[in-house]
Amino acid sequence: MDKFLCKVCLFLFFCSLLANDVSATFEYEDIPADSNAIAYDQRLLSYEKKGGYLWPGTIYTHEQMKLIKQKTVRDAWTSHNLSFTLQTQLKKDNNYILPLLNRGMLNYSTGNYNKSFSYLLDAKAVMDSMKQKDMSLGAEQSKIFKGEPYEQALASFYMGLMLYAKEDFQNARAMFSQALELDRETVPTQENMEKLAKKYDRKLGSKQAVIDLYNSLGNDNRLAYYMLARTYKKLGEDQNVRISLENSSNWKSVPDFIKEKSCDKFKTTVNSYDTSPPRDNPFNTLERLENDNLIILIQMGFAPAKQLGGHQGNKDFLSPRPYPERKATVYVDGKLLCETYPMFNLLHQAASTSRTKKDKSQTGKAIGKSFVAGFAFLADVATNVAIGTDVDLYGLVQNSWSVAADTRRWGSPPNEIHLASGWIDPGIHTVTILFFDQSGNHLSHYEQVHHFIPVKEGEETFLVVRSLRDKNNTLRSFNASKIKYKQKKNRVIFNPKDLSGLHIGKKLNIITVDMGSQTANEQFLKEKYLRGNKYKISKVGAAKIYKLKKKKAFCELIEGNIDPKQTYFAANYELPLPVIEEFSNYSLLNK
Amino acid sequence: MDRRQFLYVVTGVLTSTLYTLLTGCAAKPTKYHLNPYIAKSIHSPEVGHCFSSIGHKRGTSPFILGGTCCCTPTHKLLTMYHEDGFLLDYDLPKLLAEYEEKSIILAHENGWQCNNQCDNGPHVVFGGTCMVPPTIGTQNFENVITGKTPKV
Repeated sequence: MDKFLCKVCLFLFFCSLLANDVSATFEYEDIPADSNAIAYDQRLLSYEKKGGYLWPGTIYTHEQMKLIKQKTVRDAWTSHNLSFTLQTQLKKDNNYILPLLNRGMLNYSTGNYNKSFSYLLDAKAVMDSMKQKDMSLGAEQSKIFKGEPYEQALASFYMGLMLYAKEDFQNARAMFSQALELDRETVPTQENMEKLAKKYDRKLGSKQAVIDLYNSLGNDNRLAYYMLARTYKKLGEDQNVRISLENSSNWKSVPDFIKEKSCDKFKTTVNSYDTSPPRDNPFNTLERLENDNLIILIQMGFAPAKQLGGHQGNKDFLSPRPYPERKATVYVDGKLLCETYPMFNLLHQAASTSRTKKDKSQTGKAIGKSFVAGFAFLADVATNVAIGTDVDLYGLVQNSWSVAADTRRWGSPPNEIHLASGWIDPGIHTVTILFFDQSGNHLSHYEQVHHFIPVKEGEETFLVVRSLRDKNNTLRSFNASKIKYKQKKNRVIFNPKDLSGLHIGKKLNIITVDMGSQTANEQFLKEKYLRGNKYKISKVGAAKIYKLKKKKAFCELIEGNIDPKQTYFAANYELPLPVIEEFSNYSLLNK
Repeated sequence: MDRRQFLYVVTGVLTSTLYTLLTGCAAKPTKYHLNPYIAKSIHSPEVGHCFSSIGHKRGTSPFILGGTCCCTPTHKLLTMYHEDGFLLDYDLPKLLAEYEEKSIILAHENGWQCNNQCDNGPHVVFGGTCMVPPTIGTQNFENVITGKTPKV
């Protein structure tokens, strides 16, 4: 009897645990329509319609630009902005293909393959046709942008993915092969290879080792090989399937002497984002290729940035754009399918590119500018001594002649692409992806849940997703303003600059934020954002604005009671739940 | 210290005192950014609207005739409609003509997926005239199935 009671108690305990987890989230129909989980893609598409920028928060504004005197810095900032632009450019414009590439990426991630392919095709036409031989005396960004070889290869790869999804396997094969060809183009020419072999043979032991290294680095687009193998499988070319699969394991670390050239002082941070993949890849076997019916590509992070370096900003160096998600685990219908395997790293591809030619011409320009600036300085001194007038020719040369390296880049692609695959029963499934940082800590805001993923008998389902913070959040972020409460007059006062969309008569929610402990609450009040996952946001009342001034908004408390000793906030956001606590599927999936 | 230097020192001291007073008395920032997180449940909701890539949901009739089925018409689909007691007086050309009459796009000539973002979009479920099956795994795919209209 006792045993039975114990079992009942245990059962009820687990039920309550489960119920707690379930009740913390929404019923699907209650998820707010303006939440990221429903409207994220539409929001991205609205940026395209406006002709703005992808991720507008990272862009330098006109006001910031105006404050900068040095043309070199302005050029670098302009290049940064152009890397994320969605604004259509004229065909004759130097930056014509940048918005095409970004629009292509945006439409790919929102599932419009028709538009995405045509944008990338237009961009590719320019990339393939342009052979720039003319040297410009000014900044490199005055040249027509056609992308680095790794960017060109990436464009071909995405076009291949879309053709594969369209089941146009012949053209998909051509595109994946082109991506591999472009990777091979980064291998130094015979003449350069001999020079490099002489230069580095001591570091690697022999000239042949140097040649092998460069050849290997130019043939390590493992994901393109894997997709090529899948494509050959569809085309029934078994011999080529085997060759491509073998090559999909190619990987060699980029040695420090190459990274120093391409990344300079960013070498250490690059190392932390270009890590070696685990030794065994469970997915690139012939058996898995034939049997797995759910294939998932998970794009993570952001394409590397380019930073100005060198004496006059004449060189560009690669640096990673930081992102926390580095590992992922895939669950199907709540059951573990597999951990993902890193198949592609753009930073690795970029850092191994040989770039001596461009660097030489940029060094020449920098020396030229230094000479002219030197003469200008002497002229300034001479004029001052001769006629006593201050002339700033030196400043003029330094500020208005930019020999800045070209830091324009395709800013929207991911840095890493991970692969996951498995065999699952035909039917409709829920795929959940949990993300983790490099140390294995779970990243709740990156979690993704995809319902209704169909797997049909004898067919494969190919799913491509992108990890972005809060993309699947059933809530959206909002601002809140700390209020003052005058009990006698029942008046709430706050700074109207903190919130948007205010007008007289507007009803606002009064909320509290409890971080779980006194220390955490104090830290929150200091830092002004939610840290950790132990917060509780509760609606305690409502107030109506009756007077709006520049620095103060006056409201009448119309709902709830406020304790003047406590801290409260006004929010122009209707909380979809009376109490909001962080909820992640992590604990549920790990039970 | 000559007179000019003395004046410089006095002006400096006064300016720094005034600055400290002003910044000390200025209103402290009161703006907080809240970014709470609630994950989507792993328990799948019911299929509201079906279409070809997820397969036909039995017992549903075409969306354009007041039902919830957005599957691309085929002989096989029509047989299922008939078995469920729908469109008994329809054959495939008649059903296709219904779609054509309402200018509804069932597939693009070039065979590409548009995820209902083409000129005919959005999806018929959201009032557009595009009924090309949405791209698997995208937000539009899930929104069409559940009928959730995104609010930007």
